[in-house]
Amino acid sequence: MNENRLMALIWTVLVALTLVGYWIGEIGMSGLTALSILLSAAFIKGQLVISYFMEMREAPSSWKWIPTVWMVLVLGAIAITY
Amino acid sequence: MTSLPILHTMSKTIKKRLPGDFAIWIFIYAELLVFGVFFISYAVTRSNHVELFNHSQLLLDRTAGMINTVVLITSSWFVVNAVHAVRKGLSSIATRWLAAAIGMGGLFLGIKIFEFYTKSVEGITLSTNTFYMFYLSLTFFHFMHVILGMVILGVVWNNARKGLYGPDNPTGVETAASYWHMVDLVWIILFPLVYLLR
Repeated sequence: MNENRLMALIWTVLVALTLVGYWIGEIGMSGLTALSILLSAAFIKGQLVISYFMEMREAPSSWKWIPTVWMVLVLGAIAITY
Repeated sequence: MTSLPILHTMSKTIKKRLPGDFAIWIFIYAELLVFGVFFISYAVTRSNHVELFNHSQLLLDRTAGMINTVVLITSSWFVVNAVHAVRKGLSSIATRWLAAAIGMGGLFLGIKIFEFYTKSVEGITLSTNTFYMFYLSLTFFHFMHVILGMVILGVVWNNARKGLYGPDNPTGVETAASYWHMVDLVWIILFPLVYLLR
């Protein structure tokens, strides 16, 4: 896939996942289902931004994991304290 | 089989590098650490005041939060296009993408100011309750980072306009882009955490 198309596709996925989260807020869903969907959506979105926008997929391996580990720790803490 | 490690090492030397100036990455990781501590403090405090947090959260403007998420994501995408244009030597196209990204940053600030204004008219301040203390300080702290990101993009836009970047010299644009994506990444967690999760 050409680079511009790939980035446009990633933007589309990011917007779609944002709308899914918004919809969960609007219907007032709560509990473990809402938690799982919202945190999974945030993780996928973050991972797309980290890998493709911040270009971590091409970064040296000693540095590329830091933002991902950061996300796992933060989202993990949110899940545990929920 | 024997050629594989060689290929691996070659691709490593050619491809593997952090985009932009190395110093910005130290700054980005430090910022992520600070926001991470902030988010975890919010989550821990919420676990002790679930009712209060759930009740207060319902009064937030989720639509404004959602629109701002889309605005930031779009802005990040514009910056990606600017970086790719510079690498291809399309300096004037890069300049336009950067201007569009800064415009989206301005839109984000406008919507956020509207939200802050609405809350202040409703009489909500930092001392209203623990939830609003977190909501106002977290979003304001992020707001300041959007401004800083826009200043950095503005400097780079001005340089790009003068044709200072090109395929051999894309570092400035990459540096600004990396910082801007960090601001976006932080919001991607902030929005569901503060506006949606209940």
